[in-house]
Amino acid sequence: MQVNTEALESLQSEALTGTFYRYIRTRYADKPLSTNGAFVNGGRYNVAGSFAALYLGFNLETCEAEVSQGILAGVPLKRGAFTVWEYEASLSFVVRLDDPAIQAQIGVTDKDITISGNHWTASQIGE
Amino acid sequence: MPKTVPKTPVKKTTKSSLSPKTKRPKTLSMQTMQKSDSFGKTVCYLRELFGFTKKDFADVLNVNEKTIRRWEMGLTEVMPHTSHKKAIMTLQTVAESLSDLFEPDMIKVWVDRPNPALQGERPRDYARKPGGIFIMANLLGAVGR
Repeated sequence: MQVNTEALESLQSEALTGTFYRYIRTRYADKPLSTNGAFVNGGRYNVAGSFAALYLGFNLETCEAEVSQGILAGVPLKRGAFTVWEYEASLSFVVRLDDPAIQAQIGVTDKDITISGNHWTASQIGE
Repeated sequence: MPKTVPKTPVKKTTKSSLSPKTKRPKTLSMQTMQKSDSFGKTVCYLRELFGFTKKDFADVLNVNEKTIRRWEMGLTEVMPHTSHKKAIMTLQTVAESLSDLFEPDMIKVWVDRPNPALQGERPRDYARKPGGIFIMANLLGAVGR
């Protein structure tokens, strides 16, 4: 899916304040704000080595789904594999890519940006 | 049947870099691997961790099955190429991630389960594709980091 990058420039943003969550591999749990792993390995919205990103979830279910349904393929996890961190955050410029109107402006669908193992569309938006 | 004698002397080290007391495999630098026979031990450790046969692992590393057997015996008649060392180091990072996330028996389950992030292929099969292990290392490395 080719993203309409011109439309990206003029998307409406909003402020967002609230509680967010992150599942961190316990080995790295002492660095809850580190973006090094995302920078080195890449993620849904960032290509490895391009820029860093901090991935947070609105709720624990989202975090759990994100870690268990992708590359881990739903295989039962080791006890204590992850440590959960909770964040109080106040964000100034948030583009709601879950908003169908915003998706329509840039020419993407829910499926394009949530599909497992194919980050092509999401990484174009991130870049 | 006469015992096979290596054509070239095999350099033995007194201390393995994979001590039994070590919980996780240490990441070996290329230099370390070149200087000791720990490369073969690492090959054997990783192959068994993933449940690969020697033939499977030969396909992953793009070498002959005999070469895997020789490396595991500590014979270095066929010296590992830089690309083989890179592949082994990448598999070590995969192993490190999997050890963080799963119990050892579940690692084998993961290796054999069709994976949505790998176009529905099993990691065992995906590892044989060009660049497959590097993609797996990145995807696993990004989990929970």
